[in-house]
Amino acid sequence: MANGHSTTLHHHFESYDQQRNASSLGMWFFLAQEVMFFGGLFTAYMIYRTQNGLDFAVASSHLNIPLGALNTAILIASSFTMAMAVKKSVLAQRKAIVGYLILTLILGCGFLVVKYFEYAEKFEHNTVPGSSFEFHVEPELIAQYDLSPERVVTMEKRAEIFFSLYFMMTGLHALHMVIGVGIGIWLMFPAMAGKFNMDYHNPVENFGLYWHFVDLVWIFLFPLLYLLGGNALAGG
Amino acid sequence: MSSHGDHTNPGHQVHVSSTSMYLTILGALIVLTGLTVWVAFQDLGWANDIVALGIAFTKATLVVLFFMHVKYSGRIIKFVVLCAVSWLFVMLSLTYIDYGSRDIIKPAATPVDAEYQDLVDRGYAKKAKASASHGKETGH
Repeated sequence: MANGHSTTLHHHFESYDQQRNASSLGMWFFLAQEVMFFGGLFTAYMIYRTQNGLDFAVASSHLNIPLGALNTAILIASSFTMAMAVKKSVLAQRKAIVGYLILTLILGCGFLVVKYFEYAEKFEHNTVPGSSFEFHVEPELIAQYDLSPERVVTMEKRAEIFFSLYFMMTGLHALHMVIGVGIGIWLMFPAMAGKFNMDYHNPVENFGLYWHFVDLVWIFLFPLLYLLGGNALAGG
Repeated sequence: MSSHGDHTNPGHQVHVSSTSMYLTILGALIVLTGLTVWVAFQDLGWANDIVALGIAFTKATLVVLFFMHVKYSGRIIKFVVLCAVSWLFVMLSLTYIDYGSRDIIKPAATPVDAEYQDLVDRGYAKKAKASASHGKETGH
C-alpha cells in the first residue's frame, strides 16, 4: 500500500494536491457566506448612517480612537504572524509553526483584552443600549450646530442606534476572534506533533484564511465606527 | 498534477512567499492605518468618507492578495472571491437605492383609505373598524 502509512490524506482524495484544492475551495465558500453574514450588518449601518450622519458622528466621538487604532495594529501584526505560521507549515518547520501560532494567539488575546477595556468603559458610562442607556450631547456641540431641544432629544435617541450597531458589529467580530483563538489552540496539538508539511497543511492554511478574514472585517469596522467623529467635530 | 494516483506528490502547486514580502505588506498596512486616523481629522468635507473607504479597500486588497494568497491561487478561488465581493455590492447598492428613492417615488399624500376601500370592494380585505371610524371623522 503506497498510502498505507499516510493518515493525513483522506481516502476520498486522489492526491494531496486535490485534497488541498478541495479544502481551500470549501474554506473560500465559507468565507463568501461570512461576507454576507457581516454584510447584513454593514448594510444596516449604511442605511442608518446615511440618514443620521451628524448624530452618528456625535455618538462616534464617544469611542476611544487610540484604543481602536491600537487594536487595528494588533490585528494586522497577528495577521502577519499568521501568514508566517502558514509559510512555516508549508516548510514543515515544526518549532517555527508552533512559535508563530503562539504569537498569533497572544496578539488575538491582546485584541480581546483591549476590547474588554473598551466595553467596560461603555458600561461605566451607560452607553450600552437598553433601559439604562444614557447619552448627553455636549453644550458646545449644541451651540456649534445650533440644535433645538427637540433635535437634541432625537440625537440622543439616535446615538442609541449607533451604539446598538457598534455592539452588534464589534460583538460579532469579537465572537469570531474568540472562536479563532479556540481553533488556534486546537491546532497547536497537530502542530506540536509535527503533522504539517508541504503536502498536508490545509488546517493551518484554512485557519489562516479565517484569521485574515476577521482582520479584514476589522479593517472596515475601525474607520466606519471610530473615525466618523474626528472630522465632523474637529471644528468644535 | 498527479492524475495517476501518486500519493507522494511533492505538492508543487504550493506557493511560498518570502518573509520580506510579508514584512513589506505588514509595514504598508500599519502606515495605511496611521494615514486613515490622520486623514479623519482633516476637513475634506464629503470626501472624508470616500478617502476612509478607499484606504480600507486598499488595505483589504493587500490582505486578500498577499496574506490570503489569492494572487497565487487558481482561477476558481479568484472567481469565488469576486462573487463574494459582487454579492456584497449588490446587497449594499440595491438597499441604498431602495431607501434613497422611497421619498422620491412616494406620492405626497397616499390615498390609503381609497386604496383600502378598493380592496374591500374587490373582496380582498375585510372592512376594519379603525378604518370605518377614521372615515367618519374625516367626513366620508
